[in-house]
Amino acid sequence: MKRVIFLMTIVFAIGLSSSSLNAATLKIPTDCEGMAFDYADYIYDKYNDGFKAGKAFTTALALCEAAMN
Amino acid sequence: MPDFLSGILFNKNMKKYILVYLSFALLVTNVLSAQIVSGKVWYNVSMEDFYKDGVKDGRASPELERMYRMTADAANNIQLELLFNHEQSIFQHQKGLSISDYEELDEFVKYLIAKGVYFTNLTKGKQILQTSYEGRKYNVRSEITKQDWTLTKEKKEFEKFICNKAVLVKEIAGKNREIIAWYAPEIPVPFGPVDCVGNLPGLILELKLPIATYTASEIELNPKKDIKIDWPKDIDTMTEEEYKKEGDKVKTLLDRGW
Repeated sequence: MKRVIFLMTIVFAIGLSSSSLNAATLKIPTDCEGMAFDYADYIYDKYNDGFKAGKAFTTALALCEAAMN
Repeated sequence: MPDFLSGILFNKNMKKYILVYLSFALLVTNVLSAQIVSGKVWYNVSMEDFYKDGVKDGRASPELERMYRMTADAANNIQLELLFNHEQSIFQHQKGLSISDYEELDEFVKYLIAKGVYFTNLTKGKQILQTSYEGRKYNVRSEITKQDWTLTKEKKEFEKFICNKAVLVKEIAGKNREIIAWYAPEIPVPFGPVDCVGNLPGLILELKLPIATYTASEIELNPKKDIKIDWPKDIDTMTEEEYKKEGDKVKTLLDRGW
């Protein structure tokens, strides 16, 4: 019985850490996206140019994601 | 000699001197203004103010701060060239220049600083910007309009030329922003970086826009080889307003979460 409880605890611990890891992995793109939107807003505020803001967003997102991987 | 006779002779001599002086002054003015008929100017760029402004309130996340830093660092490596003759100018990035380790960042920062090739024709009073976005090409035509620059007495030297300061207050994204130009009256052509043309009585050797500062690093006047600028022909153009509307569509996409 003790062995079963011990094994179940191990499985639970592995599962928990794995799900936390997944959550963390999923959180990264969200942070990058938020940053990319902030960056694009800043560029738009300076230039009043939708093209520049669009390029700012895609560039910031790509660079952030590349840095996280 | 009677007094009245010497007076006449003196007057005659004076007239002769004045005439000679005026002819000489006219000749010098003509020679000086005719001296500069063409030139090449290279500009460096600084985006340090862009970085400082972005991080000043301390709210930027480390990732955002890093992005501001990378942008400003890449801009330090930009070099642009302005070619002009008595009538036209062309302003563009130096071809084939890599400014960072990332291709995407290269393309983007160059786009921020000068989003394409700027052609100016003073006789036509027009400018054409050849640019692109996501593979689509745009030829944007605009009229050179009179802007309300304030010419000040402040002076500064750039590349051995004494420049005067001029200030323009322009509304950008609903806010009044100050644009500062340092122009060289010694080079009496009204050209400068991006769309700052046709308004100042001298070549702009430094231009401070809200996001970047363009500073002349090298000037070559009257190069041996003539500068010929081919005004773009047989192209579909659009007005600035039409182009702005296209850009606004991209902004709408962003506002909707991309």
